[in-house]
Amino acid sequence: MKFFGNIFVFIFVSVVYWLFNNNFPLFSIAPNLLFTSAISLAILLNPVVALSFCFFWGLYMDIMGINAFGAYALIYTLTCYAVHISKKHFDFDMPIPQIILVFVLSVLAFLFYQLLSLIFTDINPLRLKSLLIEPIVNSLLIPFVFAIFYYLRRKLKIL
Amino acid sequence: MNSFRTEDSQNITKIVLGIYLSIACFLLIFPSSSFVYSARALFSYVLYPSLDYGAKSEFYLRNIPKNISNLLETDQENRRLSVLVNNNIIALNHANTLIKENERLVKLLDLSFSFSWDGTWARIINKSPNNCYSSFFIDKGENHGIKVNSTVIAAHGAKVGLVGRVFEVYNKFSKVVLITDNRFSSVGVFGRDETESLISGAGKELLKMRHIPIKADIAKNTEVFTSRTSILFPQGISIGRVSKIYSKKMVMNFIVADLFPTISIGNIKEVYIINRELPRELRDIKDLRK
Repeated sequence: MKFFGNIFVFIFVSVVYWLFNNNFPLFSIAPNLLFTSAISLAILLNPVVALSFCFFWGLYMDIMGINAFGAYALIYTLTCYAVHISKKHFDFDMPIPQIILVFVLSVLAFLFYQLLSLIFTDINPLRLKSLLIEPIVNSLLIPFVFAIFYYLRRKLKIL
Repeated sequence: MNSFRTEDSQNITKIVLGIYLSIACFLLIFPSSSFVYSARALFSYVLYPSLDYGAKSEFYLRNIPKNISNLLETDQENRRLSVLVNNNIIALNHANTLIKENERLVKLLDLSFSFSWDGTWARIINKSPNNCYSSFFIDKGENHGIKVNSTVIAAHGAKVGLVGRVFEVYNKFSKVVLITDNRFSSVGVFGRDETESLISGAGKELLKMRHIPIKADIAKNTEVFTSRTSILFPQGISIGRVSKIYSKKMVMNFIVADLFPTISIGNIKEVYIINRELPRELRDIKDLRK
């Protein structure tokens, strides 16, 4: 049952992310719903399931992107593992640690993606506006996204 | 037993992590086949067409079979051409407007050759919707030889009529007070006997005609012209036509009538400012006010 719930959540979040990015970007910037969802699940779920979510969401973003194929899959997988390691030392159930975590990881992921693009494809995808604003938007979004996944896991037992 | 399970779980996590990282690195390092490129290009193009509008489209379409890249490029070209067609439609509409304006201006120019007055054409640059029957601004001013109290006329088709007079003159623009304004009044004549009456604005489309003698030769549609006794306006310019006579509203043996202006104020786009030397007493408006 949980397996189908996971599949449903994966597809639903992917579609919502696509709809959000295509239709509701503000000043051509939209909050990265996949990234915040990946981190929320990395906090909530056991590492194997969370890694699978993150890897396939990364792959989904790679397929939709034009840059280095596999870069997002690598970054999301590493991000998930980083959250898995750090959640043993910090309590990420509260909004403030979540906000700090997402802000730091957003910036690091952004820079890592930049590095991979320069190494493997020789193109520079850096958009300064995204670098400056997206981590903040993601940080503000994470408590809400986490609350939704928390509700799905603990109350509805879907995940 | 528990520690065994935890250790087991950690090992599984590390194995899964290793597998995913290996796949990701494999995808990053090894070049994909043209089939993978095509599938990825088509998938992302359907989901994210905006990705391909930028300068990176050449990079994006690399390693893709010609038929697929042609398909994507055709779609991109179609979008570009749609924008171009829309721009052309806007340009065409603009050109049609300019043609109509040109035709109107040519007619006005032809008409102005028949005028017996020297003057200059001016374009209306500002008309307030709140008091459209009061005044407007024209794009000619002192730099173009416009003087205070100059007569302002306009043409509509073959009709030429009085519009008002220049009220304020600035360097590059002027203000014209209209015949329909409350402050406007002038002497008008009508009929064979050139009977005089007082024409004044009423702040609406129609003018008021007062001091008409009871026995005057007046009827509906009688045309009223500027009088030779008018100091400001040259004689013989059509002011309007009588639209209604109030024969019962008599004031000291005079009757009142409504006058429909020859030139409807709402239709005016260009006006003709008559250069006319005013009588010496009126040349300096400041002296007159003293």
